[in-house]
Amino acid sequence: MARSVSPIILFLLPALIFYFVFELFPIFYSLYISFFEWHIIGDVRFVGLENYLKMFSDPVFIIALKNTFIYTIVTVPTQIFLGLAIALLLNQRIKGKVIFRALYYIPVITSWTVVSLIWKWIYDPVYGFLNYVLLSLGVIEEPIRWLQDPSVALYAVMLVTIWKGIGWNMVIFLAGLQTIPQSLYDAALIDGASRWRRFRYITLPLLRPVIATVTVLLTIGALNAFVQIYILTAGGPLHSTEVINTYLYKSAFSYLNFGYASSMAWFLLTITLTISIIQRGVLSKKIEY
Amino acid sequence: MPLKISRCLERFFIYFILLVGAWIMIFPFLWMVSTSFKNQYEAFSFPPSLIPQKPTLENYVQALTIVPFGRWFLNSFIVASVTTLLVVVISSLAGYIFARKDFRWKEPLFYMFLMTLMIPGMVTIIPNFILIRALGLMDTYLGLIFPYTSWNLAMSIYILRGFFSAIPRSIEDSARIDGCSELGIFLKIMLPLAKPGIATIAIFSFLYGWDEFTWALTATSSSHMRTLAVGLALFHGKYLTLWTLLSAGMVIATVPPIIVFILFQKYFIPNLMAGAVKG
Amino acid sequence: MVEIRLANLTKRFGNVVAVDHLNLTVKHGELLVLLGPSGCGKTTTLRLIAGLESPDEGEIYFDNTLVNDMSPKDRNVAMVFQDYALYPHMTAYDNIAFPLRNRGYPESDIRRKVLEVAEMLDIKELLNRKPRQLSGGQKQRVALARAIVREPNVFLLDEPLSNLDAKLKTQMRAELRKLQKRLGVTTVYVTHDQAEAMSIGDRIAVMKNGVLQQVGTPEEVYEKPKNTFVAGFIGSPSMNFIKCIVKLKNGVYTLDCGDFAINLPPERGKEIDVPEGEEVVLGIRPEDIAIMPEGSSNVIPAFIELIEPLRPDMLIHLRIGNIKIIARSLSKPLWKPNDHVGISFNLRKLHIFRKNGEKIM
Repeated sequence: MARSVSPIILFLLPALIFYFVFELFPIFYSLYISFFEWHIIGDVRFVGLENYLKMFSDPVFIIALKNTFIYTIVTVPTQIFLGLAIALLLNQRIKGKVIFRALYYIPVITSWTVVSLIWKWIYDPVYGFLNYVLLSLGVIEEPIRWLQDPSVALYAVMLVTIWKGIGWNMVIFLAGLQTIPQSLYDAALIDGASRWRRFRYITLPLLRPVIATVTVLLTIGALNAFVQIYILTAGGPLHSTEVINTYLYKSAFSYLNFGYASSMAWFLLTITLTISIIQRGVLSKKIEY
Repeated sequence: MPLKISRCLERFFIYFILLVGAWIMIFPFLWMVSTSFKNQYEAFSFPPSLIPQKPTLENYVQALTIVPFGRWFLNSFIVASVTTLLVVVISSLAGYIFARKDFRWKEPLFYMFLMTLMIPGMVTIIPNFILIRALGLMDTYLGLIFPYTSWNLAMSIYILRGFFSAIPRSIEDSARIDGCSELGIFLKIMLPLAKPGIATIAIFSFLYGWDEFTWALTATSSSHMRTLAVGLALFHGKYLTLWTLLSAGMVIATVPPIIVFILFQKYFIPNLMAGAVKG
Repeated sequence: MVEIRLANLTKRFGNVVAVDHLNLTVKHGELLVLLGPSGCGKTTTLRLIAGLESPDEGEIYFDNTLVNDMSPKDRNVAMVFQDYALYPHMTAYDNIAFPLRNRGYPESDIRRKVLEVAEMLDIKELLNRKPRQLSGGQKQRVALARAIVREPNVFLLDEPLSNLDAKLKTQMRAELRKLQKRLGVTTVYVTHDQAEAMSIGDRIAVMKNGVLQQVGTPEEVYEKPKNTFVAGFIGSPSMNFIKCIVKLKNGVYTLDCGDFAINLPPERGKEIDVPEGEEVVLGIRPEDIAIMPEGSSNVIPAFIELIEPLRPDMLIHLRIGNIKIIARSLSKPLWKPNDHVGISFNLRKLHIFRKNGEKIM
């Protein structure tokens, strides 16, 4: 019917226009660029898959790849573990639950920029608070150069990510825990289940869908981390905190090699999509109750 | 051990851990606020103390007058607000259609929107850069607003569609029978009833525009067009040790999001699956 | 098989006293029903016995052992919850096996016991299913199986039949009773349904606002209710209550109910120890009211407002002046609405209560 079609198109048009121009088109344009040697000023030359092949013989890229995976494999489970632990504690009959929840959530709602800068100051080797505390307590004898020492820097960055993410996980797990009926725990208590068994056989299985979703989201986030690393270390020192995104960004806007950068972007995209699809599949088994 | 005593100990243990954890969560912020009230000497003295011995407002004064924090604050505000407005309007219209109307391309279009939720932002930075430059929008508000709006559409449409779908059709039908026009139904019935959803996406869009870093870094080059996120980072990059001043700037930058959070807390927690707040 | 003794048991939630100095004994092997309206404290009492709540005052004894500080696990009680509380992600088999696994029994023993119990409750074919694949009645039997398999000291049942439809309810009632008798386990059964209580219980404990009103066999609470609450709660339709004033003339007690009066026969009159002019409440059950034609002797004139033809009974709503009562009649419908009839009360089944509800006779 002609009359009912036009309001539909009218209502959808703005969304479609914005979306196509700034989201959909760029995604494919990016792929297109990746097949070219494309410097911002100068020649544009078609090179096919050369950029992609170049990545794997680029030592910096390999380091970035390695760091990206380490970053993901460390921060994701740690955040989940700590977030779940706090949620479990908070789920007991605690007074001030709302206040605790808000306090833990403050890092989550603060921007990555501010968080990174705060921690950069805390990590300052000479005047930063962290070294001061550790030295006073005798935990370390010399100040640690958190963001300047290549053997420590990546861990320092990961700590910031974990710190910021715990509250987000906690809130989601709390909501999940609250959907488990108390009567199941009562029954288990009467059935003689110890605290550990109640956790293992009731809480954990019933939380599995939530944990699965959270894992997927966190993994995507970790693979694509950028802001905090850029601000804290810019990928240094000596590429010890270089991840794919930071190297990508530098290739594009410092070395001005758009083609190469785009190929890295698409590579990361492929990995991200693959992993999230696999994860959804594996962790979704038997989710229905 | 008697039941009562072990239970007591246990509760003590739980509160202890929760409090320690909470302290770890907020201490860095307290440290930031504290630093913002210290003068340069105190900030770099030993032992560092949480409460400034000689608190001063000079950092705040300088932030707003000498350094362009004030201008950056304005930029962030304009960008975030306009983005929010555009997102709300555009996604309400679209969300309504997806919720209530049927047409041939509905399913594929909707899935297309959803798919891009999985696509990380960095992929589009380079093409958008080329595009914005070509459109002559580099270093302008629109150069930030338009992409921000676009990137928030998928999530917002998804959320609003959910809210619109939840409104019973019988209310709409009853309005039709009462002689209300289609546009009238949209404006007077659907929108008001979807208010929580609209509030949610408004908050997310505003915070997104306020906090976004990567694109703002790429699309602005002159100091007076920077948003707070980029301005702060670049300021630090330039004046590596002016932590006091920077802290004041960060406190100023964090105040609006905290206000938003406190006022609209109930809209945050439910909308957990939106990865929008994360990274 | 234990005897449960509750001494001065009290539990408060904030300002509300859920259980108020309860003194009650559940005998070896008996099925005691805790009966009362919502909020009367029956479920709280059950949870106190289970160990899911701790009492603020008072003691709980299992066979002279004080169990106040014992965890539910150590008390060896089994509970069937109102919503069954089956673990949704485990099969029926695993649900039933769970308590045994928690105690570390070997799998072969577990298998044997689960199958035995499944056989007893006729759910063998359902063992591989998950709770969402079971009907209400089936879920309930799995919950029962889980309770039985442990051979506990005590069964605690919290409104186990309330989620079932009427027909299934009646059927399960009988089955539960048979099962309990067979196993001989001391059982405490909570319900708000007085018909259920009457049919299933060895004894019934009626509670209101945390206070025990009366405990006794079904006959006792039915025939000899101690106060108006118990009298009105037990029996459906409930007892008719009419306000009267006691009058004494020439040694004959009369209850003046305003629109009519009843003379009490001398032997019943002796039971009354109430001064003249005192207000009392007269109680008479619907089945103890006889309806006769209008002009018969010694009847009170009444007016039929409505007849509910339940079959085989009929419930006849009568009006005497401003007083409304309900009578139950087995006979064929001789009456129609708007008929004027005469009614008489079975004076041996008359109950008289003080204004505050306590029984006089």
